[in-house]
Amino acid sequence: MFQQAKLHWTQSLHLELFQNSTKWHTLYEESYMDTSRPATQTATQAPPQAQLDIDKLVDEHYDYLFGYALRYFRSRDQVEDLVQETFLAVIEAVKSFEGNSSPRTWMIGILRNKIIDRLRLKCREAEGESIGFEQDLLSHLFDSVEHWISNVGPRVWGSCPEGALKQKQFFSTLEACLGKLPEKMRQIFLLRELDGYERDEICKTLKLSSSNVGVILHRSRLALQHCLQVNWFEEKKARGPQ
Amino acid sequence: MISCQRATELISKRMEEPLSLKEELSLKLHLFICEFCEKFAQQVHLVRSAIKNGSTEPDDSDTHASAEAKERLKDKLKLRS
Repeated sequence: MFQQAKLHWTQSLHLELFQNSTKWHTLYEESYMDTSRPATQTATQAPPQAQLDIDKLVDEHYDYLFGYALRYFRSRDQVEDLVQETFLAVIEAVKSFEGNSSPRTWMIGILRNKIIDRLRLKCREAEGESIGFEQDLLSHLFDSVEHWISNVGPRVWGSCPEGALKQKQFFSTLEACLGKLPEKMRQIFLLRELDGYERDEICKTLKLSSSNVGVILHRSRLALQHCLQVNWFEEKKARGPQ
Repeated sequence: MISCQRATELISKRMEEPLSLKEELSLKLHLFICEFCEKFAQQVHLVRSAIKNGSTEPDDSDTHASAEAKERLKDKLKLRS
């Protein structure tokens, strides 16, 4: 299983989303990793006296992993279990960790695999949950000839759309909008946009058809664009220029 | 001429895979004359980059991890390590 996890996190390194300068050996009371050794050599030669600093490991990463998993699952108990499983897997696997990537990147890789395992089980249960939501959404946005209803159609979000990315309010509204999506829809959307899985990988992993996932991604985008327009852009306009 | 609903589907599809020539042309033509869909295309890309680059650190109190759970976990891990 860890072999799998490992493939995964090396791929995820390219994303460079979760940069953290702390290297693994700083988590040990006694540093034993020789970073100059060839990368092909495995790091199983850790002397037995090397002690993992559990407090530091948990303090540094727990909140981040918790927040990450909470975007996928609403139940805090479930998220706590998931994060706990991740840490247990981490301390088991730390012996073979090569120290080439940041601990955060590596731990997110393990967490991500656990999220996917959980989603595989849950996927079948949630069929149909989002159908009502999708029907309402479409009839709310488009008229009978499938044109935008003019008062909900997308508006110009300020003269420089990228400016939104500098605003904290934009991100917190986006977070709230994500929270309003039906769970399965949000999970699939996050696998695609947060974790960067390709649509076809998601289909294969979750055993959904490609058109099904395509439709879910599309509806998520419609819902998010609309939610941001109503709750961020129009609110901002109502508050006046800042 | 494709409908706006269809145009938004193509905008989304284009974020997943290259469109066929026919799809590409019909979308281009639609975007040329439809301001709503043009904005939609711009904004869904903005959402994509916001999610990719945004911080995932929770800043809302009910998204905070519980301190007790954290301590319990530390104890458990110490027993195992």
